[in-house]
Amino acid sequence: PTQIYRYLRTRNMCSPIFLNRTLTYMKHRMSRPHRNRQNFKVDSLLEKVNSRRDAMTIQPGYINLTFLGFNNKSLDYNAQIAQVETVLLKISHKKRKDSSAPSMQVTLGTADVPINPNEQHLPLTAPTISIPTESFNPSSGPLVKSYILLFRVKITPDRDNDDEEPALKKRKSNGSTLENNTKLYGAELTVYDKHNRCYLSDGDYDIVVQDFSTNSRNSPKKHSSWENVNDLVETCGNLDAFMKGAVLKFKLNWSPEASARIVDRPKPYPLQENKENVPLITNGNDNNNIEKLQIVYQFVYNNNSRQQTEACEDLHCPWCSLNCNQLYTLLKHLKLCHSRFTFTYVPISVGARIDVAINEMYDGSYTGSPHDLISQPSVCAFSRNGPVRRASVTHILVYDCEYDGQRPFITGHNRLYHHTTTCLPIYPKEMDVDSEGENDPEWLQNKTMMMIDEFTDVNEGEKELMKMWNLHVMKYGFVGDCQIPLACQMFVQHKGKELLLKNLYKNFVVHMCSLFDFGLVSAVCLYTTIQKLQEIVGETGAIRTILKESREAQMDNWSRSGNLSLNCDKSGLIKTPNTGRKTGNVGIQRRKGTPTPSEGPARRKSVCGDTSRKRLSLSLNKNDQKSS
Amino acid sequence: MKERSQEKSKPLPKDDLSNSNLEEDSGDDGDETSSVGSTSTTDNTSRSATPTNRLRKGRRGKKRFSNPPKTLKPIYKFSCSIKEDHGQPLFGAQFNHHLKEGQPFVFAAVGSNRVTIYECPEGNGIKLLQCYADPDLDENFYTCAWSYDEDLGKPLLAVAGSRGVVRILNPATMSCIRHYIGHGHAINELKFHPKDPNLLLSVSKDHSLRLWNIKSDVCIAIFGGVEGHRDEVLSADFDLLGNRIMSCGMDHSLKLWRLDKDTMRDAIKQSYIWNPNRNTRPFDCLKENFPDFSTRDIHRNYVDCVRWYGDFVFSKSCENCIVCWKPGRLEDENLRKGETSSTVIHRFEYKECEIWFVRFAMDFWQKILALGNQTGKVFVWDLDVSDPAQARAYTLQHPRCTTAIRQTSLSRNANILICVCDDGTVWRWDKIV
Repeated sequence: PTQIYRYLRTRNMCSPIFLNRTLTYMKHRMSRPHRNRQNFKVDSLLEKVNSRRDAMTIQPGYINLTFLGFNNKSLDYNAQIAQVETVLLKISHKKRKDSSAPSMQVTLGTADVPINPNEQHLPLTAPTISIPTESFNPSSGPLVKSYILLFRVKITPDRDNDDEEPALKKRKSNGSTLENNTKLYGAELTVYDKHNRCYLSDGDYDIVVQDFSTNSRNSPKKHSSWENVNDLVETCGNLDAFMKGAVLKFKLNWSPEASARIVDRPKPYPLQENKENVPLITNGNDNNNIEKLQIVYQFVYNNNSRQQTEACEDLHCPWCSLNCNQLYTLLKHLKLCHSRFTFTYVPISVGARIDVAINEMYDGSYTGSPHDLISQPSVCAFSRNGPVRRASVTHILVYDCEYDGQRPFITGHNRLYHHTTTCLPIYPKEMDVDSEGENDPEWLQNKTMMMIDEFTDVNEGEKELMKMWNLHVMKYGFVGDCQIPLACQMFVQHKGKELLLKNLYKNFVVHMCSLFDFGLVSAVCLYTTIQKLQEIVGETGAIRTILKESREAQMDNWSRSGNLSLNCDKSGLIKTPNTGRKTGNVGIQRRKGTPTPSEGPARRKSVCGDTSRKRLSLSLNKNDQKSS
Repeated sequence: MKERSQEKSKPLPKDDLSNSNLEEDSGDDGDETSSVGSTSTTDNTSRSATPTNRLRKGRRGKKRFSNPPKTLKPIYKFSCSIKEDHGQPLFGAQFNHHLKEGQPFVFAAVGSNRVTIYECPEGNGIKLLQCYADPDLDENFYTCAWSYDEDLGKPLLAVAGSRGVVRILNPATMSCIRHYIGHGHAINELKFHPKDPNLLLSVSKDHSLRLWNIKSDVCIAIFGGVEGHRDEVLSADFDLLGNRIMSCGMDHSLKLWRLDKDTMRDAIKQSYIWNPNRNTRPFDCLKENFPDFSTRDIHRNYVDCVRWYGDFVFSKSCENCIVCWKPGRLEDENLRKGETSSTVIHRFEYKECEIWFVRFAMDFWQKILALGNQTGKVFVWDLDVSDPAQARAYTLQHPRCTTAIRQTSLSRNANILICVCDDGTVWRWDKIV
């Protein structure tokens, strides 16, 4: 298991499944308070967005930079005045081709700043530079993403104080050929970053400037690199180092009007108002009381033979080196995240002993989504073709209950379902649709029709009616005698027209009669059903002509062959029902056993096979069977 | 797995009765057809193997002489053999017939959880190219089939077996690019459509056949149901144009399924334009319950191999003969509706092949027919004659090849014959020019 957890640790660092800080027992890892969540209202969203948008547009005004002094204790010059040139650097949107973002520099002016002003008697006036805020508004040029203030501090020795200006110009013109005595410092300050966030608020600023005179004049940020936060903290926290370096002091305030070039020296802002003085990182305090705690891990093997112990000083998990600041948290973490082991906590004098043993009850079976296992190699859930629905599987890690939850507890679709007819897996997107609801699948309909077609003692018209009736019963699943009237009514409703167009009117009447004979429908039902059918006849002209034609054909036949043979249909139009099972009311149509030549020999069987017919009619109508 | 191999090595007891009946029948048939003469050649070769060759395990039978039939000039000579290290039965072998003249002779052999791709170099030898193993040790591959990628022209190999999962391997990238689950049981044979390299037919123990589109990953149709096979389906084949499928199985029946029906054509068309991301319903898989022709008159035992031969069909059971027959009457051009009769044209008789799951093979041009038997002999028929009754028969045997040959495979031009055996050996025979 140790190997597994080592591997899982690395994976969890690369692509975490959950964040430790969101766990209830790891509250202390949550750096962000949730105070705002409590009084959060959805209604306030619009307001918030509006106010944010308002903040985006910069009010017309000025940023006034009042330079208070340039402090550099290590400066051994006896210079009094440093020249501070303020440049606004606009960094534009970086195009893909460019190696670095195009930038634009606007010189805002220079100011003479006293070097190492005496704390006791500060100069009464201070030079000021006003930057109009218009210069931060998007202009017509290339889209500017961020604004940075650059400060270039030049110090020339005191003695050539007089010809400072020409010297400066000289230096400007032939950049690198600097005079030996001139020192050059630089610093930068972000006004707006690329997310259009303003960094500068009113306040006193001490900005560390770096010595450029020896190095190249490039801005240090040109080639950015990752920096360790800890290093940053150290440099920030170490005030001594901060004080030793060259520091440019100025006061910044936003005001609606520009200030004069030289203003009275302003008072410093009160300290407590300056947010920069609030310590950023407050860790390191809570460790003090636990530090003495020693944790001993004791590995217990099969028959309680304690074979290995390890002692550690801090509360880091030995497998994932996750810092659980408290013992409780550590134990919770061990139990829940490393459930292949069991952990038993034993308090000892120096701290805690944790007995580690293999969890025999651990169920290591696959607990993820089954669809991840069966998906085709090229198809992934996060494909570029758009979002893909996934089945939800929840593996519950923590569950507050009485018994000791050593077994994983999973909810959701943690199994694969299959379609009933095709056995193909059901994908998450298909889960909402019930694919197999029908009880008359196509094959069963076909098979029924094929089987009816195979009957040798039933004529074509009867077969047609049988098919229609049987498929109707199958489709709606009529199961009881009491449903037969409903079945008749629906049959006329759905199939009435088709029935009449197929010229099966008489067949249906006979069918209804036999239902009546078997006591499945009442006389009223018989009557109303036939009446409804006749209504349909009245509605459609085509049906009327069919009935007329069939009547004429029958009359023709009668007149030709005499009254004896009643059922004959050369053209197949008249489908006289066989009436072997009928009683008196249809007796007039009873066959006399003299088939017409058109009837094939196979069909003749039906005349003599009275018993077989009975069986057949029973097998065809399940409902009949029930009643008899 | 073991169970199956046992099962395969002897017919089920329930068939013993029919078998005994059958022997009588075949005996009669033998008398009748003995006048043909082609079958008698097999008798001539019934030479007992030399008793010294009993110890055969662990050594490779190389440089061994072949045993040509006495009466006829032999057409194949033994080249070499290899043994796969797992020693499990090899159930399937297929040459890649998509490789044309001038391209290497490549074949795949499957068995156990392995899929191995070999090349037959010009002249002699068997060269191992690639070997794949299924992560599941219980997998036992029974069959394989070659196709190719339409866009790139690279070969693709489909394999399937006891787990009922179809896998598509891409030898160019050496990966499994697709897998299809859905069959309820083991898959006994795979075939690709002769004209459309994306249409794959799988034949399963679950009594059904499935047609897959490997481009859109859709199961197009399921052949089976009320009128389908009543037992394991063992083999199936597309005809030359891919319009018909003939399937056969343990229910002793052979069933014909048409693909040129409107419903089927439409389903195949639909499978290509199917986009799973646009639909919340699964593809409407066509369930074909009614074959267009079915017969149980040809064989009286498990029918374990079937191949189209023009409009004729070759099929075999465990009755020591391959039957050449035709659905309907001999003179019929097209199959009549509701046809139930069939015409037997010829029987190719052979010996000692009463176990099931033994497959015969033909070359691409269908001029040579080859079948192995349970004692390691190979029967070869030269079909390049006007009447199948005149086909010359040859027997190939090697003293070290004594276990059942499950499958033979012929290269596209029939110059190389490959046999795979129950002991995990692969045998190469070269045509004598």
